[in-house]
Amino acid sequence: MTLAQIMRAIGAGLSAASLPVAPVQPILAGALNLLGTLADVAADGIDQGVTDAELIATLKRAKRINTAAADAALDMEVDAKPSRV
Amino acid sequence: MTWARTSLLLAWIALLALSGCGSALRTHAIAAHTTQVVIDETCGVIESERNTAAERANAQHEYREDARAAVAEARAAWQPAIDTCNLLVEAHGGWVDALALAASGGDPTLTFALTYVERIPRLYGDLQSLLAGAFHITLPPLPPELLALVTEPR
Repeated sequence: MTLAQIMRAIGAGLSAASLPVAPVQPILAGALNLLGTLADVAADGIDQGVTDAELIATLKRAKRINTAAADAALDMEVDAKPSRV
Repeated sequence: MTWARTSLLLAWIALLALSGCGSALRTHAIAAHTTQVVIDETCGVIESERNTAAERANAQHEYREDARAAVAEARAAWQPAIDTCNLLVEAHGGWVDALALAASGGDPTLTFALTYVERIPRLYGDLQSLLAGAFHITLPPLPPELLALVTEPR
């Protein structure tokens, strides 16, 4: 089992575990999962001898939060409620 | 949680040893990758919590007018965190672009990249303060290799 697999397994275990503070749980599990991903990148870079340019080309951008779709769906639910007047 | 913390520490040490073997560009690439995962995980949770808060606000009110006001209030409470997340995303995107420029030989000293890197700990600190103060949510620290890029002498 590689380091990446070990860290992912820990992350998955944490996701399933019940921790006292709910909002921290997915973040902590995510932190462990990212270690697995990082291990992949580091190992790939060394094992396969990729160039710096090739490594840069694999970088992903962080995802922008777009709440428009979720807001539109909830607004429809709100609008479907009876009016007070 | 001790086992988790110990695993985390051991993994960081191993990975730092690995990442320390490469060029400055490679070190940036690894830090940028880790930071992307941290931002996506953190901001994904924030988005989810924000949407859940708005749904809960809606569920607590029978009438449209009351529900609309409660939902707007919930969304407004989370908006600073959402905005800060999107600023983090922009800074990270600028960093990735700057690294692509450096990899093509356009910025050999990584000066442009560092201008974006420097924004990330500041914005993330703002986000940590926002979430701790308003929602009692504790975020994980930023990856140490990112902080090393900001603090090491040029």
